[in-house]
Amino acid sequence: MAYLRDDLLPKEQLEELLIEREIRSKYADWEKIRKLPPLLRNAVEYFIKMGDLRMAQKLARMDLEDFIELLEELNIPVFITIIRD
Amino acid sequence: MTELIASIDTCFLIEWCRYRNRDLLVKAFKYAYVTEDVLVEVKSEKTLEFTSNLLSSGFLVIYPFRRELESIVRSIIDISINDSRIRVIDPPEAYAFAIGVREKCIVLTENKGIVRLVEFYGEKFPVKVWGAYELLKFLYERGYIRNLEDELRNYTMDTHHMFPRSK
Repeated sequence: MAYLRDDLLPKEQLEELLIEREIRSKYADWEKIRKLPPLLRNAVEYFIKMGDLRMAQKLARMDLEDFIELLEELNIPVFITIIRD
Repeated sequence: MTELIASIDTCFLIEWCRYRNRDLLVKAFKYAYVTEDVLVEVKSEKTLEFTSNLLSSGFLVIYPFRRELESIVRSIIDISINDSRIRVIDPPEAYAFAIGVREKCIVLTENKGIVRLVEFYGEKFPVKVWGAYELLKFLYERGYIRNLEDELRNYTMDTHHMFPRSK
């Protein structure tokens, strides 16, 4: 199976991934994230890095909507759309 | 009256229903398809209430030909598994996208795997994929929204969806 890999992404896509990662990381409440149980912390950190909601939800073993609510509680933007002028 | 038809996936629906002007969805489309998987994933009171209203009003239609989507779904998932540029697409999003392919309607999703799939395999899947930004822009162009920038700010306040501009 081919996993999403930074080094294989076209330039524009890689830039988007890095911008999104920076935004998620900047807004995240790291104090609260550090207090999460390991399973959830790993899932949330994976989401911050990769932005893959479905995979992170599976890692957290949570329903989709519950996981989205967890991300909101942690102040992590769930979706980011980069607008190109 | 609009003649556009949409196919909506779970992530889009969950997010859109948090938006203060969520009822604008019915201004943009004549009706919208969902699969039963989408309804199963909807859990919170506010999402359930919004979804039930859309179903009972006849705006949301449960897609009746699910079995006929299987070959398209297989093809979508196969590509996403084998192409490292594309995030693996899960069945709920793949079905929503397959409806768009089969019915030639607009797919409402925030799934980046789907967006990339259309970018890289547009000839195979000639489908319009819209996220909240494209839908808000469409509503603005049709006069349902007065100021797009203000509405994007409202959307961010309600949903935490961010719309940074590229430098």
